Amino acid sequence: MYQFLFKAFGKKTADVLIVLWYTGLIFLVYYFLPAEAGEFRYLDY
Amino acid sequence: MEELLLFLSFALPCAFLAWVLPEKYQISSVNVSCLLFIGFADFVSLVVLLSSSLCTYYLAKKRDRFQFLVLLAILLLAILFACFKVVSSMETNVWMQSALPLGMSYYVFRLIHYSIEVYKGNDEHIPINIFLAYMLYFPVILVGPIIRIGDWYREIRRRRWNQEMFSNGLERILYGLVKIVVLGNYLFSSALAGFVETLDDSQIWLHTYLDCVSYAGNSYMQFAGYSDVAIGFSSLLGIRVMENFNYPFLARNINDFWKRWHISLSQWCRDYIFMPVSSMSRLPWFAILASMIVLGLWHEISFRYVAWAMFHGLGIMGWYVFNRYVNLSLNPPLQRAWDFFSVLLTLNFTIVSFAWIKEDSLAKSVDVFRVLLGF
Repeated sequence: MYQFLFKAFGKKTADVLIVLWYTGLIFLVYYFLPAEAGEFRYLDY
Repeated sequence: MEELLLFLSFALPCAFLAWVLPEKYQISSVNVSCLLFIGFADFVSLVVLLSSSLCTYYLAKKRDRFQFLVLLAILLLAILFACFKVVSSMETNVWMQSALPLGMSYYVFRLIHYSIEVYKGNDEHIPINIFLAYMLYFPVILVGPIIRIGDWYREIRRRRWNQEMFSNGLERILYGLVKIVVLGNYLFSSALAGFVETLDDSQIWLHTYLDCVSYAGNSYMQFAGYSDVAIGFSSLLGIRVMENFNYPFLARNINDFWKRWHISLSQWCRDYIFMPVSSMSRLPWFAILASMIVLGLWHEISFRYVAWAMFHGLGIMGWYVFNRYVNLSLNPPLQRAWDFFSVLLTLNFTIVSFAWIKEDSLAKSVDVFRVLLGF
């Protein structure tokens, strides 16, 4: 992702955008973590 | 989800120790972390993992004098695997379900791979400490990929600190968590399934089809997500492991699909089922069906997984026949259109194939197909 942003926008903008991207993803994971777990058969117990 | 969080809570300190400790203790720290994790999660799993690994190693070590012992090791592993898989399919006995070893589906196939390679004369001089390090390699212990000992050992020997690899590993773990939590748990399981429930009886076809899409999408996101976490964790340790998924829903045919979906398992079946069966029987169609049935039974020992596997096997055979006897020479625009159609056809074939396994019984799976085909 950083390589893509770097080529598209240059270093300074890419640095800002990548931080926003990762922060956004971490927030999404945190926000949706309580969602009911889907069925996942491949995890052996 | 709890298992994933427990895994990460052991994995992150492990990744730290793997670089901070003196070099001769770094890989051992990964193995100790694995032992602690499995022992904490389920002590029986730890006993089964260690005992099956040690038995396999010592039986394989006798290859020079008693070659049949290696075959015995493979047979015992297959029986052990089948017994636990049969137990796991019984839902009535809670005690027996709790005795299911963690990660067994993956490490048994690694043990069988090791045994076969020793029987063929490869990997027979690997010392026990390296073998145990391979079997107790923490990142792949829960959900694979089913790594090969030769590839893993090569990576161990050229392991060096690489900042880019470390940061890519963190990124990969984050992407894996997004797939599991956001796309799998929420988008496909909650949001799409919730929408499907709002459809009324007059939209039975759409209800059935989107149900299959929900199951297929969730299966992919969960499995690919866990694989991303495992591969990312391994990158944190400075060791590359094989990819397990390569955009499978962009496959142009069912053969291509199985080169993109659960790559480590399909390559295992290709190398240890398809190749030997094909060379012994000279019947490629028989080898394809045998490989797919083993692949299906790896998931669960039940008729519906056999049906799912054979459905895919028939799809692969159909593609081979089509590819052999139909030679399409199209101009570029038509070729692009044909490629797009091929991807859609393969995508729908694989989505619909999940009908065999998402239902509780074969009869219900047949009902799903009847609705989808309009009967």
